[in-house]
Amino acid sequence: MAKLPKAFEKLIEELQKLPGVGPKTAYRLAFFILKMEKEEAQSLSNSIIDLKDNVRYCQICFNLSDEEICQICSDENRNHKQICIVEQPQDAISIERSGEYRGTYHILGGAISPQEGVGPDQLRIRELLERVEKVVPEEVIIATNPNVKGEMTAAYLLRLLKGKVPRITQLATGVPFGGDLDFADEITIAKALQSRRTLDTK
Amino acid sequence: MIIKEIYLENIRKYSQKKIFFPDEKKNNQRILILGPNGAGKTTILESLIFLFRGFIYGNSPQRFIKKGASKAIIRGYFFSLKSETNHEISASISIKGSSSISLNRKEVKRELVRKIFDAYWFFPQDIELILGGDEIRRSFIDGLIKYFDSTYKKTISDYQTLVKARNEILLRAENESEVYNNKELDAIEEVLSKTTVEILKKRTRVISELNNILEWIYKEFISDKTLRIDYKTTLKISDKLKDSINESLFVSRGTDFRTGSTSVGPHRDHISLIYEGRDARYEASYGERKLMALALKVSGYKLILEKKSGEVVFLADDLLSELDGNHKITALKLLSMNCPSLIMTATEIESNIVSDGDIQRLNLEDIK
Ligand SMILES: [Zn+2]
Repeated sequence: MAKLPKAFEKLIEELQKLPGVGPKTAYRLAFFILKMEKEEAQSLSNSIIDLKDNVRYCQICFNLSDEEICQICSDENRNHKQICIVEQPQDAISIERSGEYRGTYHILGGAISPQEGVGPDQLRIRELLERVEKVVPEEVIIATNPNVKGEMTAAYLLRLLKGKVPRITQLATGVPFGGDLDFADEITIAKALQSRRTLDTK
Repeated sequence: MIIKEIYLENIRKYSQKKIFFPDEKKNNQRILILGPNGAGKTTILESLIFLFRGFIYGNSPQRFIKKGASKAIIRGYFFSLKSETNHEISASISIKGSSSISLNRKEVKRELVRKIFDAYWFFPQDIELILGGDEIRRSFIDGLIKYFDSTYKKTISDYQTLVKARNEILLRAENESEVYNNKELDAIEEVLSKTTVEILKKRTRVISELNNILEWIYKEFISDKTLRIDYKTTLKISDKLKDSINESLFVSRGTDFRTGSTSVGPHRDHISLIYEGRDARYEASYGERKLMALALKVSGYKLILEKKSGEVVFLADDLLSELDGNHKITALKLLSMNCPSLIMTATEIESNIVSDGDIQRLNLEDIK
């Protein structure tokens, strides 16, 4: 078989780094890009760089943001004494859509999973503790995903925050068991927020 | 259920084969599949297991699929006595192991088919339930629970994830005192304790229900001796179940740090069969042990029938071989009195002993 042009091989290699993209898909995508108009290809490549240059993490809550401080963290009408801890930015988006929540967020960037090498140091937990010490929140809501990793993370956070925050609650029933928060519909999230149970803070 | 016809394609020695089942009674079937060794009797049972369970009995797809073919197909035509409707179920598996199933020509999730029809069985290898180690009886009990408890599969897989997480932290620790002062381990063990409670409760409950059936079956059909299952956990537990499990895990951190594994919990628990107060492994003759294993499987089947809404067929492969005359009669009586829906296999000579007029014969020799 004749060798492919170098540029083509390079693109295939890069595309395969994306999640869910195997050699076959990478090959198909590369061919598709090859057939694109030059302007289209330029626009695709620019928007990737633009994303990296202009979207950043909020310095307070680590949500995605255009500015140094995100819209939620800079909104004076929101309750800054209330922090809802989630795994990923998309989890915060799900809760925002429910329209029930008026506090702020803290994005961990994942969940504890020792097998995958993710422990407290790989998550934004040190930043959370610093923030808690500075803000002294009235309530922290632990809204990690209702699966094993999320539960391990919640149990860990609870131990860490005990005594530092007067009220620690957890998103209670309503979010389908075993499902990820991302997929839970807005009504169930709203319900879960209303009926969140207080965890033992003794 | 009534099995009307099954069609096998590229399964073991069959390229394409249609098998019509005797169904003139319009009632649950009790069928004896006859044929010499190597005639493909077991293949039919294995195919039904694959169709309902998606599981290849003791074999890799490479051995189940006919040599040279890339994909095996089984299609069955069934009548549900509960809903009085016909169903066509078709399943396929490729040499790479990917499988699919369709119900009435629509691709569906396997769970949907199992709500209507399912299979439970006794195969010669089931003698290991008596002779084998605890892990065989643990997976027998866990497997049984999964038949009627749809959340248990997830509970078990969560449990395994948590044990691996705990082991990982233990392996990473540098010294023993460090493992006793580790918040991450505290968090993992807390969730692990919760999951363990779930497993212990479900196992204990099912074993007690199973014992009620087993003790009765054994006395009624086999002998006046007692046979029961005994469950002993490796955890130190008290009335405060969750707290005591948590404590038990905490205490074993030191030992577990040295071995790099979790030494207590449901994955290490002991499940034994107790025959007249003693471990059945060391008692009784081979034939008696085979009957014990059969009694265990039939008890499991009866429990499934009690707890599950669908129709479940009991498959008994090569039951009569290695049993002497009296034990053959006992085994047959046990099956025919307890299994409303039954398919057995036997060789011609063994079948002479089957006198029950209710059992219909399907001779593989006749349909070549
Ligand atoms: Zn923010």
